[in-house]
Amino acid sequence: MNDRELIICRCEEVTQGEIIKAIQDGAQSLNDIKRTTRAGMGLCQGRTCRKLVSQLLQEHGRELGEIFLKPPSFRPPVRPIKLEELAGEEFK
Amino acid sequence: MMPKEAEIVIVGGGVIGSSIAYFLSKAGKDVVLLDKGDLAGEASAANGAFVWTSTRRPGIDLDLALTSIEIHKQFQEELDLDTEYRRPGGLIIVENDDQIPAMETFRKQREDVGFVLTMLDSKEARELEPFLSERIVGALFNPLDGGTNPFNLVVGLQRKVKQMGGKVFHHTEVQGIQLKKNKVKGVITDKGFIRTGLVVNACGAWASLIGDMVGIKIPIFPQEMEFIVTEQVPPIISHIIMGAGYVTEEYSKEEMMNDREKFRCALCIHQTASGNILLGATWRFVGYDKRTSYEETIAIAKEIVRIFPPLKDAHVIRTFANFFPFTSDDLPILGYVEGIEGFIMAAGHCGHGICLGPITGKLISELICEGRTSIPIHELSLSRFLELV
Repeated sequence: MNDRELIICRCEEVTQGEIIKAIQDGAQSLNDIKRTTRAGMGLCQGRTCRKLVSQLLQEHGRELGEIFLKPPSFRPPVRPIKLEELAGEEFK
Repeated sequence: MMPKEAEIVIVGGGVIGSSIAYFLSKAGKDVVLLDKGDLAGEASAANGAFVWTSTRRPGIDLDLALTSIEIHKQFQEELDLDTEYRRPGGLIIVENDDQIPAMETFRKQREDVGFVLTMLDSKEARELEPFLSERIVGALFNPLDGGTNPFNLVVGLQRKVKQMGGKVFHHTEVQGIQLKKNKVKGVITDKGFIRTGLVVNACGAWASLIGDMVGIKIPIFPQEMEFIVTEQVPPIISHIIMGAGYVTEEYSKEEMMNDREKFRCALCIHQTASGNILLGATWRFVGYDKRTSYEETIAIAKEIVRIFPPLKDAHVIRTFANFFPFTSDDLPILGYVEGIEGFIMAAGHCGHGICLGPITGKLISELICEGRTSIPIHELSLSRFLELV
């Protein structure tokens, strides 16, 4: 199997090749990669792929210029939660 | 490498600054676009992704919106990236009989200028959106409303700018603007100085900070808006949806400014091309604090489940917040600023930046290149606020 076809973000099915391409096209941070490829935007919100994406940014981004490794912010909820759980008893 | 000199420096790389850079590059100008953070790092990436015209008021407000949606369409042809712009039509949900008189006035004001919104009864509205609660009393329908993918819009514009020879620098902070005899001479950034005679302030909710650098007060305030996002689900909501609460809230901005921390909540729903549903929204004034709050998330969830009961089973995967650049009359500030030669304003689009980005780009480019604009923008100048500051 070609390395470029490796799935890095399982939730959004983003491959290593797509992430490397985004970096070559100018993505300088994890947020940039997220917004151009959707890596980290899925069900787990990057909790699985973030380290791998960060590693790819370091490997491929440094030679192209400045990179920024500050991670995208974690936001509630910690795990996916049904809207009815948030809306409360009266809506169940 | 940061250039030493540029014809025009645009500060702010969101949808407004990127559109301006796009139109200026197309006109053959030498532009540098600067942004302090990531690609589409602020409000341009964190919003309901609406390209919405219904709530715009007759006059310049509506003229700008109706012209802008045509450019959104044009961008689909011109950009290399799919902006996912589409016009399924918008619905403003009327929840109870009390809202009917205000909605009827709202509809009539627009009809008087030939902008037709159709009042649907509950059954007709549910034919368009089968998952709407049976308890709603009706909806206003507008076929011109739509949505887009704001990431692709901003990224697509910036790619074109670079292809046309424009320069785009992210993670570059503007620290000062050099003036000489009230004339712009250059921009001081953390990566170096750029000599220029023309600066465009497209900094959205941060525009007043750039104003401070040239000694002018810009009455644009950060209005925090919070949204929640669901997991990807099959297409179940085809229209772009707002609650009538938005229309009634539009008339109480003074009250909002007097009680800044109290949040308001009104429905907005947009299922994007990816299948995620963007749900909102609450808003309040809390400076530049963009943490989401439990109370606001709960308020949004209740609002959504009440109007769209089947959505109760959808999973929320994220909450997010951003700052809309609030102005007290809900209109942007566009054009040259009197007393400072070479300083142009293009900010304060309130919650309408995604819709109005394209027309803003076109008008500011016309202003710079031709000295006049295809839609007159005098009434949008900063001077309209002079008595207030």
